[in-house]
Amino acid sequence: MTRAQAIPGEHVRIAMDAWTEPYWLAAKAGRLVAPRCAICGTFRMPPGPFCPECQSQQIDWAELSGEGVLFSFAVCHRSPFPGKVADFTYVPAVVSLPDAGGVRLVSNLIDVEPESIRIDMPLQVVFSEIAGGWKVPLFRPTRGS
Amino acid sequence: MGTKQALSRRVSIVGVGMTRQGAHGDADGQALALQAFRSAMEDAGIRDKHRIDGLLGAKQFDGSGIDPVLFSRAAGITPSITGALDYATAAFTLHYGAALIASGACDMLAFVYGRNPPGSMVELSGAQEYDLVHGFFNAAAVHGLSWVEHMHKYGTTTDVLGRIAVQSRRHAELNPDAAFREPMTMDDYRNSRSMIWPLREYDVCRMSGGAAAIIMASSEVARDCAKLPIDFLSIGREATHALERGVQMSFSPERRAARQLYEAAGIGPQDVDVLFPYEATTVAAVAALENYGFCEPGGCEAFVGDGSRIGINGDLPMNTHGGHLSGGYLIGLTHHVELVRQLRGECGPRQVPDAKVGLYASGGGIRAQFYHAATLFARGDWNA
Repeated sequence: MTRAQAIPGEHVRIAMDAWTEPYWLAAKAGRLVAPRCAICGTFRMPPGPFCPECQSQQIDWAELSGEGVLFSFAVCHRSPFPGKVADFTYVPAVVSLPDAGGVRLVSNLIDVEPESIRIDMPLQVVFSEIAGGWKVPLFRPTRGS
Repeated sequence: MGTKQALSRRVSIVGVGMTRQGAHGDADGQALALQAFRSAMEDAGIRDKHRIDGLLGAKQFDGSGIDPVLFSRAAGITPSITGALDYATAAFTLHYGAALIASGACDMLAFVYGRNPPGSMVELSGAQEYDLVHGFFNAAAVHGLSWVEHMHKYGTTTDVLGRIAVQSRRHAELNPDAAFREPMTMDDYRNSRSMIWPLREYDVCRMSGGAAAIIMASSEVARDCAKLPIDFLSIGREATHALERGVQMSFSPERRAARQLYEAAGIGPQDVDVLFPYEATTVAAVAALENYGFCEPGGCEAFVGDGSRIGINGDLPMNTHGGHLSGGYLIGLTHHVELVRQLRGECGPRQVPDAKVGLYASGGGIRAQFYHAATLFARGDWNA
């Protein structure tokens, strides 16, 4: 049994601009937020400059509970950095966010045996450090579920 | 000679050429592409290379590939239009080329591509894409995720994927230009390494070297060429931000691309004689069976059965050259070379009897945007 791990943080670097910076600043502080259009209320992910419904650029950053529901996943056993990092198990996942209108987030599952992962299982966000002192939101199964 | 006044001319493929796919030592992609271009020109019977008035190339994300300006210089041609698309696998680029010809901007256009990549994958470090941060750097992760969803929804298994892989290999065994030809069984498939669960090693295409070229022309010009022209019947396209919102990624109960394709041609899946899905993984091949109406959503496993149905003498021969999985990965171009040769009747031991209509179907993704592009091709007497 190999538990799913985070991708080694020192190899993960993010780029950001004015539209994504609030998302990453919140993550750094251990908070999951999502951009919601200040005009029509539509959530969008990933963060970007325009509302896909009404093209407004006004955003309310909604504070989320960090609860998610697993939409789908895959299990990778090969290192994404051959020659630099030995093989390990990680789980790319698409996570629906019920308190953000069901919008989906691309993330990884950690702290879980791959064999026990099921579509629709409840998840909770956890923040994992990456290069430059930033943090990335990952998910693990909700305790007791 | 063609006339450039019309804005809705018919378009045909008049010449195809390719190198053997596989190991090519130190040869660079452009040298291989020049070989493929020469053989496509010979195939079309075009003696004057200056008749090529459009030249399209394609690049990979790592920047490797064919620059159309540098290629034109190396080939000694001076096309009036050169170009390459951001997302450039075969159908996307051929649709662009067909539009240039149909509009009258070009009379005769070549799409050339060749590569001989180093074996290792581009490392993730430094990736600046939101979805790459989480390991979505390879089609296999996205396709694996789609297949997990399919198994959950329909109760399907990976066996159908194995049947695709094994059947592709059987076809490659009949194709001297294929990259991977050693025999493979279902046991070999089941025992192959888990790559990105639920996918195994044989579900994912491997890198290989090689080149191919396609020459297209207005159907009027095509009449002067040496071989039977293969006509574009119709095109289907679709794009969606499906990763974050909406429907499944590889599978959708209602594909706009398929509907557009069939309605424009006035035919249906029952009229297709040979199918060429672009498959970075086996998942893409079974997705094409469902998305393009050869079986019901969720029905791919029953449809494929033991694999003979998609064999040379089956109801729906598929990727008769071995596809990407066993033929070698070349962004869908070898699929087109084989499709043209099948409709001309040039495929020898792997010839599908009396193939007149062929369908190429591809899906792909970049920056959490997913694309479908498909083309129906036919020889002139297809509805005689």
